[in-house]
Amino acid sequence: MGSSKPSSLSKKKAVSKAKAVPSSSLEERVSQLLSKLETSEKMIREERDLSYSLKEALNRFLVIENHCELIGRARDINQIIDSLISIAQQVLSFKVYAFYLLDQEKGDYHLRHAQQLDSNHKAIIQSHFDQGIIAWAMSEKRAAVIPDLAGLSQTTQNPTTGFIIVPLLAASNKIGFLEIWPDTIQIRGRNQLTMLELLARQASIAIENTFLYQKLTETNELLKRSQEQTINAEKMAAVGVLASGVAHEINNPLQIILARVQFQNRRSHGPEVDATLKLVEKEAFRISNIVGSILRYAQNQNHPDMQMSRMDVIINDSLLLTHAQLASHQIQVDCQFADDIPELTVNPGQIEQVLLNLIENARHSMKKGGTLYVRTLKKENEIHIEVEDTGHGIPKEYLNRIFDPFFTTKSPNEGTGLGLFLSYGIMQRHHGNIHVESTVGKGTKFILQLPLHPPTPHEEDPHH
Amino acid sequence: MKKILIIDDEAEIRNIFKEILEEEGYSVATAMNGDKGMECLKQDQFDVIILDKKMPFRSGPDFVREAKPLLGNAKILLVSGSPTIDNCEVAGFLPKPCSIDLLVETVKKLTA
Repeated sequence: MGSSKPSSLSKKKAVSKAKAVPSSSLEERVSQLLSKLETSEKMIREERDLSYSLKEALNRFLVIENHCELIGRARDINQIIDSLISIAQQVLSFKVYAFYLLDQEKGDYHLRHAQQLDSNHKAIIQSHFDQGIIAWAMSEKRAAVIPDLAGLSQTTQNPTTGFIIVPLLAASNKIGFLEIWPDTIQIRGRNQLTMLELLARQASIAIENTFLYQKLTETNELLKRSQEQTINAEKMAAVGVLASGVAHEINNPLQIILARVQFQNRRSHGPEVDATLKLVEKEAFRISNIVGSILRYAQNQNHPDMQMSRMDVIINDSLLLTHAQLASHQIQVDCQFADDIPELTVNPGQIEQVLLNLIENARHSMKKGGTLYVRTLKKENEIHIEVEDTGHGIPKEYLNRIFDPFFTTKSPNEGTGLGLFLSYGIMQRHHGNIHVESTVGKGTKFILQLPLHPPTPHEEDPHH
Repeated sequence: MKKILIIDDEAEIRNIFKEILEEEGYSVATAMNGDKGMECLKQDQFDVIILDKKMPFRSGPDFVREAKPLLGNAKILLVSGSPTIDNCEVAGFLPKPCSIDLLVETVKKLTA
């Protein structure tokens, strides 16, 4: 030991001087030196202890820092809460806790996470709500020890003499609170509480970040959707212009064919020629009908106006446009139109777009042929258009996703996954709805619901 | 004899409409565009003008506006593939393509 050397040296000096100095003062001197020696040894011990506790504190700090980082990095609320609890348990020994999250919209607290919480614990927390203790702790913005004066906790499996409420606040925003049942309520000053507050603050910021992140994702999704809709609307308008041009060009030669054939039909040319001319006339009318529906579709794309429309006309147009594909897949069409369907104020082009979509989906689901039923029904305040197929049906797990953008079970060159999503949007804009019922192996029924009395036109945005 | 003027840029349409209406007993003149139509109007009076809506250089409705002083009692029968008349004063409208029965019936009504 470094300090013992000088003291043994001074002892020798003391002995050599002893010949001249009286023995009583010598003893005094020795005892003084021994006491000094003791003091320095004590100081050294203390410094060593301090160094140990510093090292321990540093270690603990590193662990906490590590957890804080974990909390900060988590993008999921459950992960954040788990990290918060596991580190809090290193600060303070507890098993029972309840984590409440504030519903930012409704303004009330919901139990989000808990451990070993029985009905008695819940009753205690409820009493804390009722007595305004929670509200008080939240407004105090710091961890508070609530003594269990009434002995409420004695009825629980984990009795305690007090509870700790740790508010979770990000800046001044209330996030929630953590209520803890400490195993023993030995709070050493405010240190542990301060530590809990620090952890809670980290967790609050992280939770708030997850909320913001969620909001950002939602906004992003919304933006993406509206972009898709704009792109699609422009695309359809372009298709409309093209179709209208083509239709016009076909109309002139068609007029010549039709007029010539009919003119010839005014007189007889022998049974065989007459029959042929009749057939040409009939087919020319068919082309005329197809061109007419293309033209109507094109005009509706270019003039997205709401107008009084007959549902059976829109349905027949859609069926006419898809007739060839349906026939080539051995699909029969069965139309049942109710007699009491009034004209509805709709955008006929958009309703046609929805029907074309549903018919195309039905066709796709009936690869080996089948029957496509199209019905109109009058309900109390609505008109229903049902499009039902006898195809393979939609599995239950897909049913709530089919209206999502880009959701498709078709291969990339068969479908974009936007058809039903856009159809849903169109029905919403008509203050209507679109429903699906499906049984795997039996078929799928889509029901379009249109209100008989939609809101007045000036409430509508004519461009959507 | 009632007089009909057909203005259409498609020769075959002028020809077949002319043949049909002549068989019905009308006197029919034809013009391949608005300018020629104007010339016809300067020389003669017509009961009905069958006018194509979509023509190069001058559309049917433009022709109606410009030819107004020359029209006299002539009634305009507009023929078009799209069912809109673009705010021009017409006595009748025929969709394109139309059946010859509808053509004859409409012309008869306008000349009655």
